[in-house]
Amino acid sequence: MKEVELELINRLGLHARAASKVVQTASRFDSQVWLSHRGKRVNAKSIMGVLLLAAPCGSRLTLEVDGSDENEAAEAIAGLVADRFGEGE
Amino acid sequence: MTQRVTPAELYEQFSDRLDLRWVCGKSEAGKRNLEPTGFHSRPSLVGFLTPIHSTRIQVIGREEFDWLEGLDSRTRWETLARIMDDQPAAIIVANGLEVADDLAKLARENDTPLLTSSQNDWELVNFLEYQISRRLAARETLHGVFMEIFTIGVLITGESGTGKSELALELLTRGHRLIADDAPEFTQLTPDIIEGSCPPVLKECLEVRGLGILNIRRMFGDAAIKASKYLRLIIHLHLPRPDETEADRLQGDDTQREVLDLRIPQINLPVLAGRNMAVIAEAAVRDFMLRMKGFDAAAEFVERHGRLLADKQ
Repeated sequence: MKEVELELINRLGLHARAASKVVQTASRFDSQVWLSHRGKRVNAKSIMGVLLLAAPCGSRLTLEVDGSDENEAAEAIAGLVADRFGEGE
Repeated sequence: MTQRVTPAELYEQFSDRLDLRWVCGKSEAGKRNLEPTGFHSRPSLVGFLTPIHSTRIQVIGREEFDWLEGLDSRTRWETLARIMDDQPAAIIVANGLEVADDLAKLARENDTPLLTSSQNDWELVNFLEYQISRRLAARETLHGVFMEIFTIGVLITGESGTGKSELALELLTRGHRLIADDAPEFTQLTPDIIEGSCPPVLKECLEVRGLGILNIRRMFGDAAIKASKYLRLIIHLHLPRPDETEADRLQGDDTQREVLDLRIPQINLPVLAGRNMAVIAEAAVRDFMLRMKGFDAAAEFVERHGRLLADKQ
């Protein structure tokens, strides 16, 4: 079980395209991946849940990963967030 | 997540229904919170005026009004001051009674929100108690698809890739209804009732791998959507694991899952190739309904079998 704090630094926050990328990334791993924001905890492998968070720029998310490849999964998702979801703004 | 509600929100929502009017303290009303009370503290959130123990919203009705009127001016002032000291979230003068000058003055000095209502005092207390406890009720978001199957509120859970959404879609085509996909929100209304509804963002939507997000209301019509439903049963889909011991073939694999303060019956269904999950889910719900009425097919079968053996001996 691994828990990481993430901060959304891209301008649009966790918008639809970003959410889709998070889900794609999370789904590559066998571990269970959860994201929480403001008391809502959702499965990061499902687009609807991640969209529900509607987290704006600057918000802090808690990432929980549990499973055999938890380190790689946490790293990949944290990297994606830090990289502004590959959109460069 | 801690729920809370402010007098300002109550005013916004119910001012017409309760005929609420401001006397003073409108700006302060957005800052004072009503929070759920724990088991240790007095659970009273709304109540009649009493200087002995404070409630968060004090209602002054006909009797309280008469009682205050009967006090000599010094005791009356002290009583009112004591009430203000407790910092109630708001004071409501009910029954359309006139607000006394000294009460308005003290409320203004203490920044206490003061309102009037033409409603009957006990109706006001009942109404607010109900609405506030509903708003402050314990809440939990669960992962799964919440559906109505044969009038029963059923949450379909399972890890991603077990086919929750596919099962939901198949159930929809068979005439059952969707409440929420993926993140239904459950609220404990009473000790034995949990209601599930859909967060506004996700309303009417279902996501199916390969198809993306579907709008169920547009695709299947208004009747395919239900706004909320009590949670009665959980159907948990799981992939069969090779090391797993075979489940009881007579009774099925029943467990319970704790949701908020309630234990909800859960049926665990292995997802195997060639099984029509919608038919199995429907059968599970029909069997659940029978058991709720006191009929247990497995128990009856065992009894019949036992009788047969006894006859042979």
